[in-house]
Amino acid sequence: MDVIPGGMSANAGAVAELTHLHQHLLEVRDRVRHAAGAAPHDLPSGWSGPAARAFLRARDDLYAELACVHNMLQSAAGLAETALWAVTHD
Amino acid sequence: MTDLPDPPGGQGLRVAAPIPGSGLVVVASDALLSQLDSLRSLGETLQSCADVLSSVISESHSGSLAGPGTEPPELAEVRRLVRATLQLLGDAADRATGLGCGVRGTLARYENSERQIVAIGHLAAEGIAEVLGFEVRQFALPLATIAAVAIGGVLLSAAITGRSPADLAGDVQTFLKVHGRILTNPLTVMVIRELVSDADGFGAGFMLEPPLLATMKSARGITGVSSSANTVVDLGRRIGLFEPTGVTVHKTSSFEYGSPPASLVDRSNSFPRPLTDPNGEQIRIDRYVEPGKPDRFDVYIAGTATFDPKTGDEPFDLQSDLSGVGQKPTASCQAVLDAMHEAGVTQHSPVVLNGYSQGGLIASMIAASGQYDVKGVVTFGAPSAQVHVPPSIPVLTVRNSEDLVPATSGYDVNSHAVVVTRDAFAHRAVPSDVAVPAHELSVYQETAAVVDRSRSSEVRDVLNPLNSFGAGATRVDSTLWVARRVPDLASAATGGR
Repeated sequence: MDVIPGGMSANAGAVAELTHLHQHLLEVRDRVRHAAGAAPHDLPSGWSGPAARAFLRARDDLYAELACVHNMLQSAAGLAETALWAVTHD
Repeated sequence: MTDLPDPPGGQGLRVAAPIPGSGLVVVASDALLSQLDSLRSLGETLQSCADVLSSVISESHSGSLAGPGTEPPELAEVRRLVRATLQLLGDAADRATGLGCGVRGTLARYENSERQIVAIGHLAAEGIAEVLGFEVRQFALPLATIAAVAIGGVLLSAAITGRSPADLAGDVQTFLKVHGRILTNPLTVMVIRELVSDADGFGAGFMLEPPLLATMKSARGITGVSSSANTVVDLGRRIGLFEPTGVTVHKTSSFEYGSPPASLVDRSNSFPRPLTDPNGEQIRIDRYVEPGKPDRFDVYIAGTATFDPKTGDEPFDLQSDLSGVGQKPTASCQAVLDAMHEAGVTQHSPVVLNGYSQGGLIASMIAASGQYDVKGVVTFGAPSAQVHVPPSIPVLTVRNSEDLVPATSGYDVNSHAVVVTRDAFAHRAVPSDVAVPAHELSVYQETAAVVDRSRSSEVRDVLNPLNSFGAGATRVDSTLWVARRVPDLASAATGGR
């Protein structure tokens, strides 16, 4: 195992960093999921016409983007977890 | 238009409120405004998440413990994925914030254009009214003939049907009650608002005033709804109506109420009812006592008690209505000022003025006077549209869209006021036992309950401080006051109170 100045092994450094990343990725993923869930998903009433349709389109695009963000955070967290497993079993 | 139900909140509530710093007013359903608030809040949360990720990835680079060439390839991959996510997260945050603010701005600009169109329409209508006034004067004789024929027709109908003209008038009244949708209709309200606003144009034409001069006077506020109301009072005085008097006010009872209002419903339930209360009190003043702080006051002012144009002893009458719309001193307003003085309200006392119908007009007039430290004005169905309240005073104006009374004061002049409107009879039958059911206090109490459920920041920003105005009071002293007109030669000489 490589040892870096300060006495900590390179693996230990990677483990600390991956753990840190993994924790924050999970935290941010949960916050994004919660925020997206709390956002309005029903249609605004009493408003019609092209402007209303444009609003709905923009809002749907936003939610699609949020779903994508959530999936990417999930993937990153999964990857960090896998990397952590790999490093600790190296 | 969607047929889905409104999301929870102020169902069926329409809100007109200023956008701070823009000079624009946004008008939209409470449901939509609360959605825009949610989107703005979503944007803030996403931005905060992006900041966390950005900080984490930045630490990961600068403080990496793994030396060059020793870093596990998975870590680099995680970092690459986090950076891509961060980019997308930032975009989503911008999009959410932009959507919330952008739609609000678009709605405000749309409302601004609509108001300009209404203003142009009003100018055109006023021009037509001027021409009409001129024509009426020019062709007074033929019109008098037409009027004579019309009156003759009524008398003839009465003779044929064997009923008196008064019976026929009663028939018309019954017809309007049975066909309640004619009067209880937002369209009728709109027409009345425009007709009231055009009355001065008609007068200018009738008096052969040059159109340019009439337009300038109207634009400068020299003429308008106010001058029309004053003309009616002046004409009435020539035939013995609207006689000016003095006014007295005295306290009839005082009691400890218990707790300050914590909702708009509480406020709407606090008005005295001069027609049903045994003493006929029109004013209630609640004092909030909290050790170490100056006393705060809530003043509740009732509506019109009689529409009789002949002056009696009731100051909350038609004369006070018309004089108030004409922005002249009124007996009812003087009575409220006297009651406030006797109750201990000073110019430094924090006070919230609440008014129903004529009471709302009085509340606005007192706030406009600048004599008190007014922390808020709350009106229900008040003909107070033309009273300029200083922008520093929060104003919550509650209206039922089918209520004719607020329309009799014309178009709103307070762009900083938050105006909430509800269609009170859109989905239910119009009662036939009262002439203007949408003006009933009980219907306004229902509307207040809807406003209390409002979630939009526009409404909450004005309502929440009102709900906490009396918070912390250790005692609430309530007093009821009754006002009566009295002969007063000094007052009569100045034509006021």
